[in-house]
Amino acid sequence: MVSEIQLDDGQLEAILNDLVEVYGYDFTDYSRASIKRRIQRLISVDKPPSFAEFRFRLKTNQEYFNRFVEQITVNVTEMFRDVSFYQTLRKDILPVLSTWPLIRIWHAGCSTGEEVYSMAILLQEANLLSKSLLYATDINPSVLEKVREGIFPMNQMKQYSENYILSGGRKDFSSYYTAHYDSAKFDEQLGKRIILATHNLVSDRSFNEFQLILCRNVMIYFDKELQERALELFDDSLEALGYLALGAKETLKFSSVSLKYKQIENKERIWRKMK
Amino acid sequence: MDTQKILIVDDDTRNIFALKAVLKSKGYSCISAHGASEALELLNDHQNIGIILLDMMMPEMDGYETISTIRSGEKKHLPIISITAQAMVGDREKCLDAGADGYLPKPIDVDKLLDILKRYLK
Amino acid sequence: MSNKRSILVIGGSAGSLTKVLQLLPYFKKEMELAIVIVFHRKDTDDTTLVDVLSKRTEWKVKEAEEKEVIRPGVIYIAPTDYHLLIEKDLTLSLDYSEKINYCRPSIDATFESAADAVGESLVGLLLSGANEDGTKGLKAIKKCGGLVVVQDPATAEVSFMPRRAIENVPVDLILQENRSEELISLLINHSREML
Repeated sequence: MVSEIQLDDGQLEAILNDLVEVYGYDFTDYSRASIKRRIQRLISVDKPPSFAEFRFRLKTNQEYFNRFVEQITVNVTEMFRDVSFYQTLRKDILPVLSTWPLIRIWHAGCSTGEEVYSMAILLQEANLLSKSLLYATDINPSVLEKVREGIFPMNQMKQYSENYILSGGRKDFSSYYTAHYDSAKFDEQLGKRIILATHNLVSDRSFNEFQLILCRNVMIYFDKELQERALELFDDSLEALGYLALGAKETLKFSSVSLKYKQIENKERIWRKMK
Repeated sequence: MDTQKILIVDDDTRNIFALKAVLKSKGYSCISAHGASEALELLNDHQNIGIILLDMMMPEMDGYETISTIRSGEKKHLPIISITAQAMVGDREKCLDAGADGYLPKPIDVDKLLDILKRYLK
Repeated sequence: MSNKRSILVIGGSAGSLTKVLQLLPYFKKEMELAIVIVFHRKDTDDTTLVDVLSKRTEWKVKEAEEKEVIRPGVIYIAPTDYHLLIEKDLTLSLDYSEKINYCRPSIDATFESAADAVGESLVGLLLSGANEDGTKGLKAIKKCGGLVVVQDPATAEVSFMPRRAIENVPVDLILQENRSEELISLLINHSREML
């Protein structure tokens, strides 16, 4: 049996540097343990004959690079994941957002869009969708295509439906999509208020001002400095009295921006910008 | 005499405010639009727009589509400068390929912007 | 802070909590040691587990936090539904990728990342459980110069996990019932070698 190539630190560095030089994608500030695992996994799936060949292919083949980015950055996600978070959005956050004439929401690192469509449903049920704009960005252009289509695997619908109900949803979840063989296509009305764009949290700047920014389970893959820079970018893009929502185990309390923010009462990972 | 106006298209009001302020202080005259459809209307109504500063990431019609629409209409020779928050290699080329005459990353380097305006406006 | 300090990484599934509670009183404050525990768990309330363990030890017990630095005298518990990784600079990282061996947190994920990051500083301890999570991780720890301890399958509540490990990995100590001091001696000696 051919033994699998075990990536060492030198090789990891080489690849990360190649990516910056050739493609302008800088992963050098990502958490090393995590990215090393993901690349190692890609190697064990693709089984390149040698590291040199793997490196060469990555450097010279754009399509392989795209696959690489997908494997390294795409996050596993579910609709209405973290029931208490969506409950809080529904009961506490949305009523405050409704006071704005136009609601802008940024889903940073939206992946395949489950979170975005969950938000669209929440807004629809609160009668706020028509005055909202949902900006969904991700580093990965191919993943944005999926968001545009609004198509999710049919076999996930049962789980999503359960999550939806547990988070306070009262309608028939299946009324939001139509079934096509093994896919569920979500209502186009939900998709109409979603704006898609590639955006790289490492290198790109603020592009607008929002009342709610969600970046959940994305920054855990960044190292500390990059987390800090990302939080500053979010702070730069958030209106006063707007909300920043992070993942279940994420926090901004160690960041320099924390002084401007207050965590909401029920201790969900949502902070309000106070000044 | 009809001085040429600058059309700023951006859905971020902070940018419009900031840009207008700077350009006014340099003696330029600006009008603004929050989105592509508004921009296209203004293009029809105003005959003395000399250049467009166009944000690439906007709702409804994004920057690329907007450039395409302008390039196939009456004002097809109008100078268009892409303004974008995206910094990656390849971004500049993408904008120029789409038909932009120039590219400025955010935050805007005012000196670079002024050079561009001197070049394209009378 | 020297990067060479002793870290005990414990992995366990069904039946492992009782063993951990049994071991806790043996860990004395003076030991230059940090402990990271990965329990397979359903969506249980994270704070109850911390409370239950806190009652049995003078050490601080807490849920592992993103980018937190591992310090001696503290017991870190992997949070539910995330993989817990250890970085070279002794910080903890959370990861939400797909389940491994149907588990998240996965013991292999923690053991492997720890082995890669701080290899010889590690003592890996695998306890009772019903699946094969942990064996690969122990192999990695051994390969990177750490020590491997496995609970005696004969006295583990569920023997599958530890037995699997013993069959596949050269073990430095089999932790037998009522022989907890052996583990402590091993840890103390290891710690001495590190400093």
